Amino acid sequence: MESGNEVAKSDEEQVRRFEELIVPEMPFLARIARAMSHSQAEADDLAQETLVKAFRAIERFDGRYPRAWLTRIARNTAINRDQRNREFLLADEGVVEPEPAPDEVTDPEDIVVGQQMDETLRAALDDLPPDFRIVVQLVDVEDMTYQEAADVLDIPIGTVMSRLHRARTRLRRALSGTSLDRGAAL
Amino acid sequence: MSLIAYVPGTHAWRKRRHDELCRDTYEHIQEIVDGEMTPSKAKQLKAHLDACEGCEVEAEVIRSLKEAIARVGQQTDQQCVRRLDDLARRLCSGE
Repeated sequence: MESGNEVAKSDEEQVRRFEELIVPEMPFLARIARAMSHSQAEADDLAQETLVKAFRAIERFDGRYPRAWLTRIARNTAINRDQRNREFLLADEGVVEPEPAPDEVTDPEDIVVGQQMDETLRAALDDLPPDFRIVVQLVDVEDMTYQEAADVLDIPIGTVMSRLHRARTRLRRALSGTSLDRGAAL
Repeated sequence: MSLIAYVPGTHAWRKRRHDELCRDTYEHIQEIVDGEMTPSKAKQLKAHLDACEGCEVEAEVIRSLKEAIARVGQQTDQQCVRRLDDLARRLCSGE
């Protein structure tokens, strides 16, 4: 049987694992912290607190899926952050996102192109509630599957799908009617 | 809807079948675009997408929006990353 000392890895080994597995994910951490926050200042605090927690817990990390692990830590940290983040805890049941009316459903040609479109979309993303924005970020930007997003956020897959649908509906509404160049693709 | 709509091969039957597929496809377009459907179901609905302008436009809107979100969402606050890199360095060096 292995002794406790044989099982436990040295501090140096843990630092090496942290450098190898977690440090390369700083851009990812910055993005998801922003998606879970109301402002960049709040995102900075969340990202740094998440990083410190990850460092302290690296010994318990099995080394698989660093992004999923970081996302879970960040989510739990966001939930415990402060009163403003109580909305992150709330289920979205009861908040009905109206379907776009037929005349406001966006055509591909009806979405503005180029830098102005990016700025409009950036602002619309910032206007989303964090619990919607993080689902969009994980699925559309970080390429997680519905199931992976559901697992790291600890919500049902159906909630991932409904938040994604409602978030996209809001974004489409924000982008509609701003066409600069009919017929141009995004 | 008249009973003729249930007689295979009639115009009414084709219209009813098209309308059913439209509803089914519209309901699942998000999953199709996100690649979240089983291959067999996706194949059935994609065949309808190819033949139905309304559903194809809806799919294209979501696809375009998804691409735009991916582009905008990849933008990362570089100051935030630098601060994280500094913090990671301090943590690793035991400061």
